[in-house]
Amino acid sequence: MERDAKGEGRRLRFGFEIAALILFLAIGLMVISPGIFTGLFSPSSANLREAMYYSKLDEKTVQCQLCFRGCIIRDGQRGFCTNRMNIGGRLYTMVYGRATAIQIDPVEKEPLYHVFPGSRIFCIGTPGCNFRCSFCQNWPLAHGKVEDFEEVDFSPEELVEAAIDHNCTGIHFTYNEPTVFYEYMLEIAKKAKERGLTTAFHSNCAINPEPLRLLLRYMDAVTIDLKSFRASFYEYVTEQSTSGPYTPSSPPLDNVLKTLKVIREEGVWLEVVNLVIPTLNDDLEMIREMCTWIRDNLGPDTPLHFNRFFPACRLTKLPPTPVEALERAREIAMEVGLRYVYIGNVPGHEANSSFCPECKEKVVSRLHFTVLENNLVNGRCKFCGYEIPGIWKSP
Amino acid sequence: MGRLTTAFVVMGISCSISQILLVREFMIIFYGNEFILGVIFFNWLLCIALGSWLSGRLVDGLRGAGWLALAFSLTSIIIPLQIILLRALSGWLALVRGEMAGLPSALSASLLALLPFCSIHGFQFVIGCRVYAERERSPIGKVYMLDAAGAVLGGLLFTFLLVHHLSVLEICSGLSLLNLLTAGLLLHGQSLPRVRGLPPLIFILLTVFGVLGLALEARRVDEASYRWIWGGLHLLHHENSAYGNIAVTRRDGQLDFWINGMPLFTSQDPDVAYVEDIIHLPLLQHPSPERVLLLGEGLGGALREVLKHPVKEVFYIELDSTVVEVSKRYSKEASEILEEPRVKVIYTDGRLYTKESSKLFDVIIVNLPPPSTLQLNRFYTLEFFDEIRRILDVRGVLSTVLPSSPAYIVEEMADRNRCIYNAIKMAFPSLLALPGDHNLFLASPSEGVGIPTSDIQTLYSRLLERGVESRIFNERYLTYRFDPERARIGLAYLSPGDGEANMDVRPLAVYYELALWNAMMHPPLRGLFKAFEVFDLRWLLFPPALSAVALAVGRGRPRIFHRAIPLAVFTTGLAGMTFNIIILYSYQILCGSLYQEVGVVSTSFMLGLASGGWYMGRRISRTGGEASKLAWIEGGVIIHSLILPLILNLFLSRFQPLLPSVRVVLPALNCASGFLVGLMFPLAGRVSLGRYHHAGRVAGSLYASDLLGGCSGSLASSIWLVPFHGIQGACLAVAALNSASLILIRSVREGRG
Repeated sequence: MERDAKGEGRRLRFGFEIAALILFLAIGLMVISPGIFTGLFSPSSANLREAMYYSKLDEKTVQCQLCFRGCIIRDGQRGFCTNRMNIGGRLYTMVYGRATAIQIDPVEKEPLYHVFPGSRIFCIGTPGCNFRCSFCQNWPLAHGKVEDFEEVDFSPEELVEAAIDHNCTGIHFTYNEPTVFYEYMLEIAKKAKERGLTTAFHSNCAINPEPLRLLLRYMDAVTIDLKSFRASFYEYVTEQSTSGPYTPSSPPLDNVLKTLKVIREEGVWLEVVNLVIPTLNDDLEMIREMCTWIRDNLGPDTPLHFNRFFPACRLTKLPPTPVEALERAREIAMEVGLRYVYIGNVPGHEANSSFCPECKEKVVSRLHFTVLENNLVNGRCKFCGYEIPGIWKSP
Repeated sequence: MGRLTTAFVVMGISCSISQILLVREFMIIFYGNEFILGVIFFNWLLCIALGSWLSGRLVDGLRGAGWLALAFSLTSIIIPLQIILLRALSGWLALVRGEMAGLPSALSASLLALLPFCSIHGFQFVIGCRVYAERERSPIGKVYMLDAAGAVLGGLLFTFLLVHHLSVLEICSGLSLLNLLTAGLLLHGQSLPRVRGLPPLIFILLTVFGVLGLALEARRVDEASYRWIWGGLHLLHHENSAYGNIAVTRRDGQLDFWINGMPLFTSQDPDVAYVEDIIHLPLLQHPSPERVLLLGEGLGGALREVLKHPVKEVFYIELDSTVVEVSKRYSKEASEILEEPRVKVIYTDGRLYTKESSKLFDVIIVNLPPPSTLQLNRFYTLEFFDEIRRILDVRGVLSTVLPSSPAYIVEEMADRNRCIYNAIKMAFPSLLALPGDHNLFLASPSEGVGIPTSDIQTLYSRLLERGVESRIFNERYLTYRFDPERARIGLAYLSPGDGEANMDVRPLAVYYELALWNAMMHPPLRGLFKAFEVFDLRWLLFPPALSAVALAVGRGRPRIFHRAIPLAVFTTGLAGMTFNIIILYSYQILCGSLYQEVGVVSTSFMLGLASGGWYMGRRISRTGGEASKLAWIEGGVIIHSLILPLILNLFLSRFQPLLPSVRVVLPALNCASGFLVGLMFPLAGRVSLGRYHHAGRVAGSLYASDLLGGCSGSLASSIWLVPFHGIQGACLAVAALNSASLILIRSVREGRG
């Protein structure tokens, strides 16, 4: 009798606890869910456009062919960049029209030092990226999803119009990796060219050759981040070890180098940026290899920017790059035979300016990202007449 | 008798000092924001709770003293080893060295490092209760009280003595020796079952020699293990000050100074673009800045840039004199700047200085990291800006800087910057915001005098007049910086919103800063903070309602409620931790975060806890424990949580000058909070013992409940309740939870007999 009562009590208590828990969770979720889930499940369909460059693996599964990752995306899922979604066996881009980041910058900020020095450019970016660099300056944008931001919708025409209204000489695709809004970028670039604007993009060069060649038809210049010359560093920034189904289909560094050569082949103006991070990729031997490769494959006229690292995003427990290290890297690059080697993110440094390789005079004098003096006449050094490659005058 | 008393005081001392030391190590290895600190405290208490709960199920069959001695000797080994283990782990925590480690690493590393020590501590507690149970009416209360008394002693010892004279591992080896002696003391003269065989002998010898050996070599081991944290960087110097760990590294001739493992400043080549921008722009706003106040980091170029203007005095406020001493010793540039007669270095808390200063300043520059802790947030609140206005000349300029982005803004960052912007706007009639990678907020107490100005010509002519040599400033830079189109795009986010301002009593900016950090470190957990926001104060009705329903349903089935006592202990533990956090935070707002004062305030809680335990223990031994008193204590906690915000408001409200009585009232309040919580535990123990008779088991589960309450309280109030709902909201939440257990505890009396 006593025992029965005990057992009953225990069962009742258990039932009561479970019921209370379920009630609590149910009410909680009902209140929470509108806030959390609506964005996740109903991306605004007005912005969906069918993506370019993908192939069907079967009825419901597609493989994205835009960048080297080659994500295999099942129905209802998105690729690594979180911008391309498979709906019913067709791949859609979710960021068409979603120019979340817009600003008017000096062209030196890109950096593009050989393209209309001192000009104002109209910069555009969207959320998403196909890399996950721990030191990303724009992590809220690049590591974010489109639904984390206020919804905007700008047509390519509107943006081109805005750029012209604000006296910008060009439209640049930057802030996040522009490959992940390829279709949008392509349309804007076409419209911009029609209106006589210069066009450029700043990329990690992980795009595949075929889409790249099409894009370059509408581009005047490209800035490429060559993040390192070591495969392991690329594995780190692409999260190779943890990306599961999104593991890149080809080694990232090989792909980047291949793509760099395509840009050179297509004859579009190219500048290369290398962020020198203390202890992670500041090895001088590696820098020598990289410079040699650039000289042999892209040509000694390719401008190379060694940028100073500052703690950012998750990579905050490292010091800024010592200026000495950047100077040594620059010396090596010059030794190897590169003609235009800059040091970035060190305002007031001599190597912020452009020098004539022939007479060593300062042809474009810069302070931070303002131009103090431009000694180029029709793309030639005012002092000795040496032709400096770049885009100096409007077509 | 005296022997056991000593042992449990030693346990309290070891526990509190180890906690301080470990948290300091965690700060260096991780990033010491409120979230990470909350998680570490959570794990600390969780591990002890786990240990005591598990041992509660084991010890009732064990004989006491021998096991207790074993526990003390194990503690003596673990105390130094856990520090060394943590340092060794530092390399594995992030994917690459230099990366900030996130929650998963913080959770796993702190569990791994804390589990041995904390579970043994839990075991000691429980077995202590077992041993005492043979001769005391309130054994559980006794051990609780002694432990708390030891914690008071340990806290005072560390704050006033140890921190200033000894290295981390020297302190550890001191503790080890103390524990070893205690183990010996416990065994001495005991009629123990004879321990035979080689293994125990080897264990004893190894422990003794290990501890002695470490004591002799402590400094060297400390040095060697500390370097593991800095792998890859050439470490020139490191030092623990009262406030934190200061380190100097060199790479290619560049000197970097670090505080708690985060960059403090770079000598010679700092981030020029940032430093020049945040110093020259406010100074150019003033037609003739003579007296300048710099709050925050100054040696990484900020002071140097200020001195390029014709100022007469720069007051540089630095909390930690060790930072200045170390900088002087290693950086030639810093020592030159500090010798400059115009620079007045004042070693005090910045918030305290602005409250007490009688000087008037022309320009006040706040150059601090974003508000990732309640302590940092004190420099971003409406009340702070009110105080700044008091010491700012009518034509003066205040400048505050926050990380941002020129082209887009993510929700959490927008919320953070906006609530701070709103606070400045409420305190100052004129405010100018500048867009960019950092937002600069320039404010003036006067309207219509052209300060702050966006007129490039005025600013440029001042730049030329003063002959400021700059590596970024020229007319074009000013044009770019004040470009109205850039401002329109980059600052659009400031205008909408509900106009909520960041305040001392409701430090919203901390909440958004933590949400932002969380979004960066753990993108999949981004919804977490959004989910918190949904729970507004209306939800507080839920727990009491749930209890009332439970009471109604369970009436007549008293055994259902044998969980009511642990629940009451849980909610009082939660209340105690929340009160402690709120009072400590309020004290720092009012009196600054001077190390020893803060140490006294936090110790006063433990003092209250110990005396509450002592008082209740005596009462029980005279009158026996009555279950009805549990309800009275719960009622006391509820009343305390309702009165506390009212009292704090007397001191914290806007425009309230600093009352000297606060230095007495706040520690007294903290002591009272501790006292209330301290009353609960022995009584709960007595009442439960009267019903179940298994001292170990009861002690284990009650101690676990108390600690679980404490750890949930500390985590919830530091990252959510206080930041998002404010001091008042957090106290209301405590009141609501305790009402829930008050309702349930009434069932205990019914269930008696």
